[in-house]
Amino acid sequence: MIRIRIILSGLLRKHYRMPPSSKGEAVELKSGACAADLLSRYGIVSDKVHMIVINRRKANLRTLLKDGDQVRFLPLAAGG
Amino acid sequence: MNGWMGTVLRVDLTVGRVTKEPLDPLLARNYVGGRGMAVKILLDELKMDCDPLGPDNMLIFINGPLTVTGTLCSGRYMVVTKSPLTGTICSSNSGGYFPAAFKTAGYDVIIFTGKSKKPVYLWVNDDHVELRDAGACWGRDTRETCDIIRRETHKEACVSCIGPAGENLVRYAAIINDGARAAARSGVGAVMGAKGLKAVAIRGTGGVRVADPETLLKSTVIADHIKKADLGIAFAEFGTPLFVDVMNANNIMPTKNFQEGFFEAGDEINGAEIIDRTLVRSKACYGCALNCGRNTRLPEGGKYQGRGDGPEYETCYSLGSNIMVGDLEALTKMNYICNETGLDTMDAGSTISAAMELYEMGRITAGEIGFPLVWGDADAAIQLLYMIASGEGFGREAGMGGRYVAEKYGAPDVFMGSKGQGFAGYHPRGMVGQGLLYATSPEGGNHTTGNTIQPEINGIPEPMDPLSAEGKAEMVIRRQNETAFIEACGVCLFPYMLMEEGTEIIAEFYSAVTGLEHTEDDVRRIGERIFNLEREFNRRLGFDRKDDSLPKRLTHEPHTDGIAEGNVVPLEEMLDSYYRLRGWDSNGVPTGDTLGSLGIF
Repeated sequence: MIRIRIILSGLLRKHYRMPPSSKGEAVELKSGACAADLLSRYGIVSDKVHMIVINRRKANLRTLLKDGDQVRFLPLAAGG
Repeated sequence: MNGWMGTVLRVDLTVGRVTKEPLDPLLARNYVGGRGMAVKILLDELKMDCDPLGPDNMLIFINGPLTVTGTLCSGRYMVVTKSPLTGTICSSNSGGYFPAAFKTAGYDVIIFTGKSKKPVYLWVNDDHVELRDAGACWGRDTRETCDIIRRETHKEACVSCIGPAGENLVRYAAIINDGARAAARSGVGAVMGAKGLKAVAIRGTGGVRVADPETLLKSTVIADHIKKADLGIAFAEFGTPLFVDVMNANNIMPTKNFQEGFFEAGDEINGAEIIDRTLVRSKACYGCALNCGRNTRLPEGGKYQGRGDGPEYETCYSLGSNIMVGDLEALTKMNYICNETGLDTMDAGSTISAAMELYEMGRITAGEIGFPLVWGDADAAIQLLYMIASGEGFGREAGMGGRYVAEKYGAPDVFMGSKGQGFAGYHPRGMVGQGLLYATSPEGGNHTTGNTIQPEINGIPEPMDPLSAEGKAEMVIRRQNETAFIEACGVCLFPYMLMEEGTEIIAEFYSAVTGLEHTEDDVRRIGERIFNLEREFNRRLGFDRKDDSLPKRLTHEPHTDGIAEGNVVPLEEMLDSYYRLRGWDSNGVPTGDTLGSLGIF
């Protein structure tokens, strides 16, 4: 098993009822899991996700996860 | 006239005289309103070499033909003048409810000239217009001023005013309306203070005539669409601080005076944290479908106390990541202080971040400032904000702006801005088109003359490499022209710049309101005319290629984070293409043919 931290940004957090903390939450997955598996675990529809960042690096749905990873899913952005 | 009210108010503050004159229909047709019409008026009437803080400068309050017409997000007005911060043309844009009162009182433009011997405010109650003594509110903060003036005039009056910062001629003093909306940038509040004008209070009860009301009903359909779209819901839910996450994730959140692009404490100051810790309710401007405003309150028993609005994303950057403050409550307190004293949060932050770097370098000492000024010290930043607004000690120098402070203390390269104005919260090393946009903006570092997030970060309408110069000149020109037209109309940039079909929609609304049929290409051409006229204004003051510059940190120091690691902004390469596509010479001067083809002679 690997233990990772998932953070949903912006609207994703509202849609998928992430607990009220922007620090996200810890979750355990089987070794060899990828970002898409994490989305499935939370029931998140991938077309709602504009960007995936793992440990401050851009990633994609197929990126393999490692123990201790911090995975952030982001929706579309704009300027303000 | 449909859309325009047809009346210009002229206020000569030197002699205390108010006159009304009809709006020139040709001026309206060619330059629309907002910054477009205002720059034309200034070019025709302003003594160009005037001191921005002297009686010869002109201060223009102006709305647009679409303001308060039922058009989507149509509650905006602009303040346009010669900037005391940059020495260029400047146009500062604000929302709230003041713009609606301004227009429905029956006016398109208010032109202030001269200088009053004693502090005054302008009271406009529909047709009735008078200058009144401002003795009771001079020296007061913006909230107190609003209360006093409402008591003296009418409880429904909308008030736009300066605080102590404007009175003390802070070069980035803001004009605050409706308590917390701000025409913040470029020192428009200092021009108001220099004229002895404390406030403009307006009550408007009239209507606006439009040519084709049925087409405008489409506005409600689009509003409904936006409210159901992800981005629209996100705006309402999180406000603009939503973008802290996105900027950080893309490593373009300016941090430590643009030394870095990622702020470790970003998750402490984002839209979600505001909801969890300080949000009272979301707020909307007149006719808005987005509700991006935040009404907030600091928790009882905490170190910082107060209630007000914000912060917006730009403040999360300028007084948060860029000075390394990751304490949401301290950041919120700083935002309140800026709103109450009438300071632009962005240039306040830009100046403080430059001062913090100077302090770290040993160029400026705790003795000169009055206390140590280290990265992340929120209490020191708060103390400095009060000193800036009141003009006390080092605050007087800091009130001259980041460029002044950086030059005075011998390290001009630590000022992160262009043409003397601090940047907005998008790091150009990770989105180089934004760098070109900052460099060529008529008023320097600015986020309202167009931003490049949709094309460079979101890949809309087409994916674009944010690190490459390819295609950037064309994209920036397009964004600048479209933005110029949208702002001239007197509507909010957000929905029209976010929707892929935004330009088509604004052209349709403009045609429906005014009865003047305009296509997308027509409105882009008007935007191009406005942008070139602003360029011509600056050219007459000696601005050219040498001023379309960025700090060496952006063009020569490699980025430290993420996909942009190692990248710099290839400014000169982009400028060459930009000037060529604009029809300007290699020194950035519009050619006679270009101006002529746009109807500028």
